[in-house]
Parts: sequence; C-alpha cells; structure tokens
Amino acid sequence: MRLDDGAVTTWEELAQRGAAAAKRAGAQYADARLSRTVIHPLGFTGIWDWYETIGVGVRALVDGYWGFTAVPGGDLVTVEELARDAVAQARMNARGTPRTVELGSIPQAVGRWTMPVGIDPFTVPFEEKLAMMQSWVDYAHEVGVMIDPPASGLHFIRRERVVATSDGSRFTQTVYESGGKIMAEKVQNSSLPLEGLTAAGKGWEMVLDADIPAQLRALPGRLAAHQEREKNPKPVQVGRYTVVCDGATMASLLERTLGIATQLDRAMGYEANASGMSFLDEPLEMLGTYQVGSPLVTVTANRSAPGQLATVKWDDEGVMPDAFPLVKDGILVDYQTTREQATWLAPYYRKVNKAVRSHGCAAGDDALSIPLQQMPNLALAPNATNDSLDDLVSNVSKGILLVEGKARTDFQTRAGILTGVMREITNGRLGQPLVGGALNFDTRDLWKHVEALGGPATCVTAAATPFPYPAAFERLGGLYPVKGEPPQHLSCSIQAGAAAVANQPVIVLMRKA
Amino acid sequence: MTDVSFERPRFLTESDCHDLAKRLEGVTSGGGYTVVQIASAWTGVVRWARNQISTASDVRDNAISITRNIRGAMGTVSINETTDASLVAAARQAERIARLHPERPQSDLATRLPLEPQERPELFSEATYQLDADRRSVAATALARTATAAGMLSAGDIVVTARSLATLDTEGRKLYFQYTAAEYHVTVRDPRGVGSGWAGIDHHDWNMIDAAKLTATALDKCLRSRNPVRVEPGRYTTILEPQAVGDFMHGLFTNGLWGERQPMNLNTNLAPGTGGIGPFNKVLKPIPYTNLGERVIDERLSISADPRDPELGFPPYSAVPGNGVDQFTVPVYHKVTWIDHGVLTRLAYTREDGINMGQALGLPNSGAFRVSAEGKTSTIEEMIGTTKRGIVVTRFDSPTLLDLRSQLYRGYTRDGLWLVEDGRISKPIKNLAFTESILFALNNVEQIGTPQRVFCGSMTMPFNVPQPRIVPALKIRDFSFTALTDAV
Repeated sequence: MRLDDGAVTTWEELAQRGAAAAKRAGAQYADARLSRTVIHPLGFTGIWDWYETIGVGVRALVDGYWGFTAVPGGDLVTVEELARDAVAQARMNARGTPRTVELGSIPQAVGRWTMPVGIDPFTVPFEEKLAMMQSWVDYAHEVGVMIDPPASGLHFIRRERVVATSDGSRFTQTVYESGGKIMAEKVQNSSLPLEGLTAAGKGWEMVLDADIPAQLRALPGRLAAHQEREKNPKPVQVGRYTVVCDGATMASLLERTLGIATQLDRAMGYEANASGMSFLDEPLEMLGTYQVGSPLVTVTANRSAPGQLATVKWDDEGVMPDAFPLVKDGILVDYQTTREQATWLAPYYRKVNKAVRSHGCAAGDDALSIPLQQMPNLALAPNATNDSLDDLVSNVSKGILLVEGKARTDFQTRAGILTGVMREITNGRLGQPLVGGALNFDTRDLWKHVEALGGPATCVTAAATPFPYPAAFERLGGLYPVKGEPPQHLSCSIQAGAAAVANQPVIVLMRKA
Repeated sequence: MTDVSFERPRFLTESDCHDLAKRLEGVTSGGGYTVVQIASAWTGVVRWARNQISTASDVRDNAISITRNIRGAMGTVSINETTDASLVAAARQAERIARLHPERPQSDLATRLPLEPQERPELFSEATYQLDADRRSVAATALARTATAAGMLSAGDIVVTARSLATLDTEGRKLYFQYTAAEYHVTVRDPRGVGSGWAGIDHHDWNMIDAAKLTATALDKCLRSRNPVRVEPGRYTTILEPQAVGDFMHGLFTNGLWGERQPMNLNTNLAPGTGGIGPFNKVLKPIPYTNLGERVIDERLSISADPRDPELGFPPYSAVPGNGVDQFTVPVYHKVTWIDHGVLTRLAYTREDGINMGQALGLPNSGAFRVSAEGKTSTIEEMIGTTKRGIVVTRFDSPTLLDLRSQLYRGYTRDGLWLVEDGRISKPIKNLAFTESILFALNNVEQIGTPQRVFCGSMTMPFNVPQPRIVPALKIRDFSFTALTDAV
C-alpha cells in the first residue's frame, strides 16, 4: 500500500477517501477496508511458511443493491477507482426489481484496538521459535518419546484491518490467532495430542503456558493409561442409548448444528446455492416460540470473550458487537446478524422490546473478501452445579460415553453424524471401549433430549478454524464450515461443557444397508 | 455503463511475470537460485437469492510464492503484492528462512532437472473474459425472473475468472499458462420449503454454458420434487444422474488413484481410520504391490484425462504456491488412461517418485477425469423404463470418506430425489444418507448413459485449478441408503 505520494498519510485516511469517493459517485452507503494479514505456520518437517497478503476493498450500496471491488495493495488513485467501480456495479444490479436495504443507525466507531495478547507472536524472532521447537524434539528424545513431525506444527496469524464507512466510522484493528497441534508417541502409531495448543486469540504465551516439556515427561504415563483404557474393545451394538458427551463433543455439535442454523442469511435462503440452509427457516414465526432444545439448553454468542478467536472491538461495518442469547431455556430467541440483516427481524425485536441492531457479525476474511455474516464465539451455558463428567456417567443405567467427538451435518443442519471415542456405560459405571459406532442424530431431537449438563469445570473452549492445516489456500471441504461464494472461513471459538443426551440412535458407521 | 478499470489487464500477463522475476532477481542476495511461482486471478461474481441480486464482486488477487534456494537450503515466502518494496521484503524473509535450514547440495536436485514438456491446451475464452459486471448483472436478473414467474425462489451464482499460472527461476526455466473459467449454478426452492431443484455447469467458455436451460432444469426439478414422501433406507436400484456420478466419483481421484510408490496415505487431515493402505495397493514392502493390470471396475467403463481433450480441457500444470513447493514438485499433467475397459492401467506418482523409478516424468493426478463408456448407452428415461423399483438421484452433498481401502463414502442426496415404480417415476421422496463404496458401485453397473460434462465448482477460490469432469449417468444395482433426513 503506497502512502508516500503525499495525498494521504495514513491507512485510515486512504480508507476514508475510498468510502467518500463511493459516496460522491452516488452510493447511499459505502465502506472501505484495508488489510494486511500474515499467516505463519511452522512445521516440524522443516516447512516454515510465511504468507503475507495485503488488500484494499470497497463496498457500495445503491438503491438496495451491493457492489464490491478489491485489489491487492494500491494507492489513492486505485482506491478511488475501486470506489467508482463498486458504485457502478451496484447501480447495474439495481436495474432489477426494487430492493430495500435498511442499515439502521449505529454509533460511529473511531479509534484503534489491538487484541490484548501476552506476547505478540510476531515480536518473537523466527530463530527463537525454531529453537524452542527443536528443544522439544531433543527433550522428547531425552525422556524416551518422539514428536510425530508430519502431524505436528504451530501457527500464528496477525490480521490488521482498517475500516472507514460513509457513516463516519474510521478505525484500525489488529487481532491474533495462535495455535498448534503436537502429536507425541512412544512407539509409532500410538500418538496422543499434547494439550493447551487449541487455536485461540492469544499470543506466544500460549506456547509457553502449554509447558510442552512437562507434557512430554508425563506422556509415558498418559500413553499407558490410554492403552489401558483402550484394552478389550468390542463392537458397538446398534440401538438407542443415553449418550454422555464431553465438552469437546458438545462444542463440535453446537458449532455444526445451532451455530450454523442460527445464521440469519442461511435461514433466509441467501446461502441456498452455496454453503446451505438452516432448519430454523421461518425466523419471524419461530423466534420466541420455537423449541430447539430442552429447557436446559441456553446458547449465547459474543465477540468479546478474552482470548477467543472471533473477538473484536468492532465488526467490519463498525458495529460494536454485543453478547446475546440465541437459544434461551430451549427456545430460539435470536439469530446472528449484520446491519442489513438486523432490520429483517425488526417486527420481532419491536414485539419483545429489543433494540433493532446488528449483533456485529459482519466480517470478511480480509479486505479482498466481501463481508458476510460470520459465526461469532458461541457458548453453551453449563449447569450451575458442579457436576463432573463422572457425575453425568454415574446417573446413566445403560448408555455410552462419547469423547473428542466431531459432528457433520447435512446442508440444512437437520441431521448428521457424530463420531468420537466411545465407551459403554452400565449402571453408572464405565465399561469396555466400543468401536465402529456413530451417532446418527436428528438435530432437533438431539438438543431436545439434553437431560443433564455438566458444571463449569467440564467446559472446554474449542476452535472452529481452518488452521493449522498447512494448505491455507485450499478449500478443505467438510473439515470446517465455509460460507459465501467465494467461500470464506473465519475462525471462532466454541465453549461447551459435558452433557447427557437421552435416547440417541447409535449406528455402525461403516455398515451398509 | 462499464467498469472504469475493466480495460486494464486484470491478471499478471506473461510479460508481467517475467518482469516480476527479473526485478526479484535484482534484489536477492546470498547466491543460490530463486524460483517464483505465480497464480494471478481476476474473478467476477454475481450472486442472487430470493430472486434478487444479493452481492456482486470484482476482485483481483495474486499468490506469488518466492523460494530462495541456497545450496539446497530453502526458504519460501508468499505475498500478493507486486511492488518492488514487497519483493525486497519477501526475498529477505525467504533468505532468512533458508539460512535456518542446513545446506544440502546433494539434494538440490531441481538445479539439474530439465523442465517437463508441457501441453498447450487453448483454454482462454474472450466471451468469459468480457463478461463484465454489466453483462453478469443482466444475465442474473433475467435468470432470476424464471423462478419469480413460477412463484418459486431462486439463488444462483455466475462466476467468471481469468487467471495465469507461472513458474520462473533464475536457471532460465519458464512455465506460463493463462486460462479462463466460468461457472453457473442455481438452486430453485419452493417458498414453503417443500421442494428444491438444482442445476449447474462450468466451462472455460461462458458461451458454452446454457444458463437459461439450466435454470429451467432447476425449476423443473424443484416443482417435481415438492412434498416428498418418506421411503425406508435400504438397497435400491439407483439411477445416478451425471452430476451425482461426478460428485460420487470425485473421491476416487482425491483418495484413490495413487500408490505406485507411496502406498501410505500421508494425509493427516483425513478422519480417523481413513489413513493407511490405498485401494489399489496389496502389500507394503519391499516394493508396493498394486492391482495394476487387474480388472477393478465394470469392463464397459474407461477413465482417462487429457489436458488437451477439447471437451475436458484443463490447465497442463498446477502451481499452488506455498507449501514449500519448488519447480521440482510442480505437478505437470500428461494424457493418461487410469482405467482401460475396467482394467487398472496407471496409478499416480510424483516426479520425484518417477525419477526414483528411472522415468523422466511424473504422473500426477490432476483431479480432472473423463469416464467413457463402451457399447450401448441408455438415456435416463430408458433407465427408468427398465426399473421395477428404484431411486433417481440428482446430486450428492459433500460425500465424506469413511474407509480408504474400500473407498466407502457417506453423504446425502439433495435437490431432487424420486422413487421409480414399474418403469416410471411415481413420487418425489425425502432425502437420504448413503453409505456406499465407489468400487462396489462401479462393479454393479446395469446401464450407462452418454458421458457429459458436469459441474465441478471450486473456481471461485482464487488459487484452485479447474478439475473438469465428464461422466455418464449410471444405473447401479443395490446402492446402499442408510438413513433419512428431513432436509429439503
């Protein structure tokens, strides 16, 4: 991005000139973004990549229709040209049937915000990071274990973004993502993941806090316990069971079912030809009345939780996100929204005396991507008691414990498959490991049968992120949800505790009809 | 009304790429050599939903991957800006990374390798390149009108893109290819949520896409799929329309047709239990033993790929920057017959593996494929007419690999599923999950249709290379449906 021609002196000014140029060209509303993103994956196989992208994009609204243009980098001439093109594009689209977009009013976002992290990972020299990783490899050898290089790595991301809107917002924001996966083993093909590296809105301190050497020391004990637990596996018996899920499993279920289904654009059919739809597809009829889960189920969304991946001060439209419930005591009460989308729910908001305002979920991957409604951080409220996973198990006479589960759903999130590590429960006690099974769930049926929740101590914070997978630019279908066309994939954090879900159909995953 | 900047070059041309490589060469330090890989793209998109244009975009972007190789020690940095300042910064960073690696002159193989010969398919269409925001908008508005007139809701996408792929190094080797791609796909839904139809296609030439006809097909499928009834999961004689065959068989190219030298699947991103020995490998050691020469699918079917196939045509090499790729590992695609009349004839291998086997070239798998049929072909109507009880499938939703060895997948049907009874379609039915092996299905073929091009998608991703597919409709015996879903 060139600022040295004297016409502009800061990125914010450049963005503001872009938004102003769009407005001059006839846009009723416009916003301009500049972004610089650095993605820095560090493998244990000598692959240490560095992706740095820079971009500028202008979005314009004319008579209810949008236009968007973007290029990598640029100067004032380019930005103003992009603005005129975005307006021309919106105007062409506006030749169709009349369309109304109401953005509502929002306070102006002005200032700078940087996600607070302990140690900015980009201030830690490359050499120091590699020396640390090498020290783990050496130490592992010393204590008689190994790190599995192809399956292990760290990643660090910094996203700097400048946004200016024709409503007067003008701000600079920097967020971080740090995470990784380290698989360690004593003999080949028996590796376990080390803990504390789940991707989060944190810095280098995450790596230090994970205390990898201590984990490597403890690994032989963990592996032995794991092998003991895995002994005498038996094939799962098809049938209906009460399934006790750990926090990680509930987080995956939450993300893939209610997390996707409460995206208002999906619910309204705006993603029908791309990422899919939602079973919560009559928002104004369903809000406030539709039961999506048992009365124990309360799901909230936020973009403010410290250390979480979707946390920002302002979204891509200058909205300061609020924390809001999506499901309260089992009833659907809200959707994830942008400025345009919030007004679609105005009749409901007025009826329940809520302000008609965006929840601040507008975001694009970077300035080269058109902002869409994206998933905020989600949380499944835990039980107020201190029930542990064991407590949940002890109340089940015939059931299955499912941990480290991963859910996948159909294109409307109505039904899906949940796979994970299973163990039988008989009369409140854990029995043999079960192999070959999966939960063949119906989304609404599953959430309605949540009959017990674990306490706060069972909560984990999982990451919905395409990283640390190395192929940063490839679409990894199925591994994480994408949205839009071109597909985008923002990171968010999902917090959930353990739960017991009654009467769930368990199948043999690979069995054909 | 046209875009102000539409007349400018919209992606890096061959001379832009050469200029960039030259500027880069001028700023490197520390000796060795430099490889630059460039993927440059202009992409124009118009999307609509609920019969109105919802978003539109016109975006240019580059992925410029710079590898500094100093006596076998390599460092790679990827950027998207072409300014001198960004090239200098990238070169410095790549050199810094290279210095962190040990020098390995003996493994610095790329310096000694001649370029592989490259096919030159003609895949640049002016019709695609000239489909500006104005034309896209006019087309989208007209196409959305079809659904409006029928009282249905449509959501569609028109995507056009022009791209270049270049690999240049300081040893004087140069690869450059430019191409266009266009795609159109549309979903038409009943506003009450009781029916859904879909149609789509992609081609390098926008003029080869009959968007109006596809829209009519999606509308027809929507209307005929309304108010589906429930049928029990089970094994059915199943007529897979060409799109469903393409969706299903794609997995074979991602997960199956490899293994002459690398029997272990090293893709750690697969679901647990899906790694291991490939479907066409028998044992691991001492030399991987394969099913080459054996009949593996129905003998009426052959599977091939040729970048210069006038109907299939795809870029002759892939240069996905990043991942530490250097010229040595650029996959260059050649004409290949993977399966000939049901007999496995080739499996993919990298150039490195090829050299280890004493061959000059690699045989990478582009993901593009043509399934051709020998003998009598049948229309879908004829397949239905000869079916006592069965199911017709429009397409599948993201099949997931369950078992690598047997190529077992699970996924859902969508956008049009019908029951066939006594030789005719009797009613629309609710969507089903399937659990089926590609190899099982391709060994239970009853009837085969005329091969035709189907939608492969993914061209909106800036750095994906098209993987076109030409497949016939297939009537499969005992296809396994394992669960119901209420998703419409």
